[in-house]
Amino acid sequence: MAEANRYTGKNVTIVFDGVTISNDYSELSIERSIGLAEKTAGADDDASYNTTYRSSRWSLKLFNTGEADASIRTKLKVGTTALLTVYPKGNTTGRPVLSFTAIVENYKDMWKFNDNTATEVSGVSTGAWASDIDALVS
Amino acid sequence: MPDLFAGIERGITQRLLASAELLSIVGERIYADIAPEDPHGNVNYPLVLFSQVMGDYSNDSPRDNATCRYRVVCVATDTATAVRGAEAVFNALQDKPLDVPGWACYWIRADKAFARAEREEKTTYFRRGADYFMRFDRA
Repeated sequence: MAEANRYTGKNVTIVFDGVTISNDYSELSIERSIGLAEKTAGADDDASYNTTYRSSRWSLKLFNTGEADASIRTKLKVGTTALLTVYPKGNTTGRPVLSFTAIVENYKDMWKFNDNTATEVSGVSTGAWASDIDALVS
Repeated sequence: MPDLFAGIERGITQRLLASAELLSIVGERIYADIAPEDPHGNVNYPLVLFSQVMGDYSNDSPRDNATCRYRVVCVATDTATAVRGAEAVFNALQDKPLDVPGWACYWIRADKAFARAEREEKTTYFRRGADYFMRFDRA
């Protein structure tokens, strides 16, 4: 049977600095973008650009105990720089893998009296990706 | 994960049977869903009934977690006893996590009050209680 053209995040595995942090994750997003330098001349009818450099932002939402936890809260302290590896379909040979050095830029807890507290962590990538889009687990 | 809800029923029963305040009002007449009849077809009052109102596996993370709501009411033939029974149930359950094997209960609170009176064969049955909302995740 052909592979489905849709998939969910249920098999996502996230490893940060060698530790799996996806056991109770809720959302992960990674956004890549390219810088643009406009070169439109005043007489042009249409805007035009030169591409400059790539950049990436990531954010992660996860549940945790709220206590000191070496695998989550300690690892994800702001300012931490470490390798973030994401296996969108699990750490299985032949499946996709994304990997880059990540800087933890923001760490946010918000407590609601009558709801689960989820920690939101976000940051940027620094340098070239170790495993870019279309890379597969070997 | 059907074991969760069977475990919750056992947990509620254990918690209520451990309440001396409640036992002094209803004895051990604490039942899931429906009260049993004695050999003569009678039901003895007052009593406590509880039943599941909703159950939801959240599926918002790889870790199994669930929420559910149980209605727990005291049924009596006079209002005062029904109210006292409902208060005793509240004292026994509010913020007192259930023991459910394999699961961690981290929230149990009344979130909707319940009151109803029904008249049947010249007897009025007063029901007082609340819906208790619960949260669990895999221990």
